[in-house]
Amino acid sequence: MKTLVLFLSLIALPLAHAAPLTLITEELPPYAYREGGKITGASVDIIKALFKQANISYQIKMFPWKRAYETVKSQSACIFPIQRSQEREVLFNWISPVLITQTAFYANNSGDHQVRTLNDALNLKIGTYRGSAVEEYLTGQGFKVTSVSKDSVNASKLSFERIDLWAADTLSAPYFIKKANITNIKEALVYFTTLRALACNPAVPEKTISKLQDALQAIYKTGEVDKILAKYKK
Amino acid sequence: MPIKLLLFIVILFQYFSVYAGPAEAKSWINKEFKDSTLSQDQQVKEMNWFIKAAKPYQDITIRVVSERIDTHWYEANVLTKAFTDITGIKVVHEITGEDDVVKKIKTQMDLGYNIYDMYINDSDLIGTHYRSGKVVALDDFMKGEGKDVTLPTLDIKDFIGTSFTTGPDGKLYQLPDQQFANLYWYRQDWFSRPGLKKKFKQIYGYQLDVPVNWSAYEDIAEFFSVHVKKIDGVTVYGHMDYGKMDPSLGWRFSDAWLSMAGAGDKGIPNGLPVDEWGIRVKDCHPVGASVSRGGALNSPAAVYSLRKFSEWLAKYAPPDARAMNFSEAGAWPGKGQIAQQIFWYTAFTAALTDPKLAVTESDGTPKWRMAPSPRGPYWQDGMKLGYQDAGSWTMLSSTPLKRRKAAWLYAQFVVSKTVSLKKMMVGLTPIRESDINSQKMTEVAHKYGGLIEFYRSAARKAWTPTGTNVPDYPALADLWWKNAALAANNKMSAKQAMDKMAKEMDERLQKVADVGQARCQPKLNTPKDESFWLSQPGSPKAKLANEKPQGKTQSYQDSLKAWK
Repeated sequence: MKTLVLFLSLIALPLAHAAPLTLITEELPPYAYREGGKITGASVDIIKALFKQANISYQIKMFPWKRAYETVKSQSACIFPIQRSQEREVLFNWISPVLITQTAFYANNSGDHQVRTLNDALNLKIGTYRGSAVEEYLTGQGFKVTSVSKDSVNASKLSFERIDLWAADTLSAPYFIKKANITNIKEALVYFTTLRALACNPAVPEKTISKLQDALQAIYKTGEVDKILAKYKK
Repeated sequence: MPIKLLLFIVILFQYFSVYAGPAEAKSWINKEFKDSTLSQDQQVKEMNWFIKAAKPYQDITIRVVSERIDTHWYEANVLTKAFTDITGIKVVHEITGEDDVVKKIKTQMDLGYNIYDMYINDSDLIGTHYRSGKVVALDDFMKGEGKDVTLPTLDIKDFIGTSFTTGPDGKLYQLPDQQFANLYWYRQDWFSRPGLKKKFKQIYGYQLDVPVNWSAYEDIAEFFSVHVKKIDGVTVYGHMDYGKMDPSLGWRFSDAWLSMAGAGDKGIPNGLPVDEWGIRVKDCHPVGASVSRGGALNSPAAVYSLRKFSEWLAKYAPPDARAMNFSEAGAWPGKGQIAQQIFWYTAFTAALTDPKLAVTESDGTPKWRMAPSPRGPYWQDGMKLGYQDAGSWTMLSSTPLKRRKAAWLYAQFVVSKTVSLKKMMVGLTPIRESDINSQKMTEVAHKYGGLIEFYRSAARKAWTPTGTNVPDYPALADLWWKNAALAANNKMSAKQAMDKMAKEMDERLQKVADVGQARCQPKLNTPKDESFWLSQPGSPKAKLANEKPQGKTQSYQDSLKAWK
């Protein structure tokens, strides 16, 4: 009996170390949201495909952004999708890009504002999501914006022409428009592209990082990332 | 509606559809591109070529990206409209930080996934691009796949920066879109004051004027900060710089600080075998940055350059300068308290001609001048002296051919002679010899503090970007700011910082070699005793017995004539 217990505990030891990697994301439909008790979405699906390719076990958790960011800085975990800025560069090990997102101006169908370039929007009333990178980019260039704390509100405001343009992510905006049954909004100009990554605490083994980076190249090459995004673009 | 009338309307419509291009071209030439080295007829002819070449690409919206300087805003907001109106091809020109451009181009190269159809990327990455096997050599493209979309009047020989964008194989890899230099900036009005001239001569024994060497720069810095202290009731400083531990400190050094001190070898555009990063090559393979491998990154000249940077920052710059980053420090010359600055980008020229500033007269003419940079004691004739930025059109092989061809049309449009002189007047970033020598530039030169004079002189050839010795710029660049900042903030001595950096640079070079490159990858030398390399001719150079030779100055006119 003692030998059996010893034997079992010995084989259990390596299994105890193969704990699934914790991946943390923020609720941001259609990138990450809960549906029928499961966490799903565009970036979640890409992460699932990535980890399947790399053959690494994982568990996904959803927290508000600030908590997600603090957690990954203090534990052996990863966060996605996150912008890889110079300031953050040294804090994490990076698998990038797990998402290539775009920002666009949306306009009301009946509006007569022609927006061919960024500059055309300079004197227009632009709605943005408070504290977002989208807002920061515009205010950094001298644009005046009206912020709201829920981006979905911008869809209604634009529909009722209380703003001239809505600056938003090209996957999120159609999601909010569809959800609100709005039919009088169109995409006017896709003006910016952003790379987003999976960032891991330095405690995550280097071998895991390189396996994931190789897997990322593979799922781009096979067109799997495009397939997943196409699903959500509809 | 009567059939004949309907037919007439259809024909009329067709007529205007077919000839909408030339009408739009004439309209844009008249309202926007009046200033050009081409005659109006020649401009029309050039635009007609674009209209014809663009026909197969009407269904495409091309997407390109560049950094944020005035020239690129002009392209993104004005030239894109002109191009679309004239050719029918839609284009979105995104603007972001240069570090973001570099990340994106590296991502596309690594992933083979098309993010942009072309990039305006600094030619500092020429070594990276040449070795990656993923960048289309434009020479090959123009003769081959892209022959039918290559402008007959492009006139490559007219571009002043093509030596920066040519690989070791002699092929053009990138086409310059904008250029600016890093020069010496000074208050010519203060330097001309008889009282100050007299006082300087009394203390230092020679004329207060444009410094030829770092010794003179140091004397002048001390003069204003320590002996003069106030001019017209305002506290003045003989130096301005920045030292915050921030990515912007990186280019403060990699933009040729070591070459300005004289650390590298002779060779234009870049020192060979050792360049301004202190990287030595054998044939085209980087063999090391440490002195023990024949590099110069931790050589006495490099250590001297970092030591002087830290000393001048501490002794002669405004007290808060050490905590500033590039953008914060950039605002200072315009405030009217700085007498001179050894490291100043000409990209700031337009901003410093604002008539509201303390450094300009009421009509906007500058009280300041820019001049060729002073050289350190290790510098020798035949070496490059300073930095020149060349944001250049770069085409990746991962972009589908049809998109590359359409994007190449836009790239050529924004550098064409129809457009380039107006673009230069807006952004002050010249790329063509013909524009620099134009009558228009002669008329406006007095407004720009010496910018046109510099670009007309032979001096401009000795100001060059990072060259082909650097095998993977994105993989190596961050070492500069992370190590220089340690010395700037007194966390370690200049020697300790450069020794650390040289070791890390060699480790990174080895990593690049391990991953492999399509050609000319690093092959590190076996380390030898430093004395072996220091006693060889050329770089790395042995420590000079006297690192502060007699200060020398010369007149502003002579500072330009000195370059032959």
